[in-house]
Amino acid sequence: MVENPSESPPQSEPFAADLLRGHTDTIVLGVLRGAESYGFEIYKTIRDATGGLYEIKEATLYATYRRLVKDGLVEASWGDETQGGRRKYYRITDAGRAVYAKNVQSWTATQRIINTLLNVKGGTP
Amino acid sequence: MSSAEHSNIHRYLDDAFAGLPMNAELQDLKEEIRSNMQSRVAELEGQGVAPAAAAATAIDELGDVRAIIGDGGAGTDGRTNAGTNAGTNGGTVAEHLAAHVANKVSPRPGFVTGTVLLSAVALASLLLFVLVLGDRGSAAPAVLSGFALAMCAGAITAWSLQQETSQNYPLPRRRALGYGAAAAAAVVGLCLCALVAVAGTGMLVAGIFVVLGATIGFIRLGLSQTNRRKPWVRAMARDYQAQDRFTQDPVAAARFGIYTAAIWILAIAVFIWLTFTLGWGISWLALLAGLALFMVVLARMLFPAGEAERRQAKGE
Repeated sequence: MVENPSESPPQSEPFAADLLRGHTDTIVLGVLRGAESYGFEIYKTIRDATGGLYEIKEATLYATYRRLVKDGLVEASWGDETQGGRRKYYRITDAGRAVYAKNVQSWTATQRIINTLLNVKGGTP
Repeated sequence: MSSAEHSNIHRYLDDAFAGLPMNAELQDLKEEIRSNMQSRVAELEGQGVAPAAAAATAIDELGDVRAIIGDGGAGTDGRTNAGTNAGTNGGTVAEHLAAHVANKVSPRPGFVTGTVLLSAVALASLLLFVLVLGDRGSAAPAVLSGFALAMCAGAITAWSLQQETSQNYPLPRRRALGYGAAAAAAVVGLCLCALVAVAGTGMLVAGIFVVLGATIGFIRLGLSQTNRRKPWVRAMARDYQAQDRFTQDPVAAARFGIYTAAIWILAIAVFIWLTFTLGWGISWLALLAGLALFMVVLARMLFPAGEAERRQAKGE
């Protein structure tokens, strides 16, 4: 990461940030699907996946974690780091995996429909 | 939220959380935000950003911290929450009923037919197994029927766990197969134990080892098992929490657990001892006695003695 996003805030992203924001829960579940992770690591994974262009607000993420934990889709536990601040790790549950799979399925279907509709209107694919 | 005046994340967080009743939940949140911000600051400083600027950037990226705190709700206005909860109890019941209807999942016809067929096969295998054993017949049909029984038990277990129900999400395939394998192994072990009459005590020892292996498998799966309850079930559990003595009285619950373990260890030990000394005809009585004793303990746990008097004394 060479660029410092705060110094050069992206004027307009090459993607729809609000659309992305609507899928925050599923995105977090997707990040956690591989391995348990903590807040900053999740944040970094999302930021890096968008090439550093999309800065999801961390406040949004904390609300997401709280919601996911409350619904039993992820489980939180404190790590046992001895140096520096302790980290709160999140781990996806079986319920979370099921919800993730369902959301990915519906997204794939939606995306197909939107692609079809947009192409019909003559947009470049 | 001006970040320029804050060059220190600790002071910033102290300011943001100032004046709030610091309950465990908020303390947790503050600690979590702090450690994540420290990581971000460390990353920025690694890129050569000055410490003060790094802190300002981290604070800026955090966004509206007050919104996160307000969102928590539970800590800041717990009392009002409790009041409204009590008032709208009828409303939550209706909500749960609605959620139940909305989450209704009917079992798939293929699954129902399949499990009924498998159960029939399992039952037939069990009958055959018992008949062959009773006749002191040849080993081949016994082994074959025992194997079929184990396969059916494993398949039913694995298949059922992969079904979505009204209350539970389906288990991932690998985990469901793990449970199925453990169930099949347990049945194999029990069959081996039952073969003791025809094949000698060596078989019993082998059987006990296989059952132990299956138990270890179950324990491993159980310990690593995460939640698969649907959110509405969890919400319902939260609302009706602490109605039973197990959640109300952890000391009594722990005592109950120890009693249960003691009863079953004793019952199984006596069962094994009686099997060797007096044979199958008598030894099952040990398990029956264990079950009866366990039921008495369970009843005492759920309906403790003196509860009625205590209620009367309280004037309920």
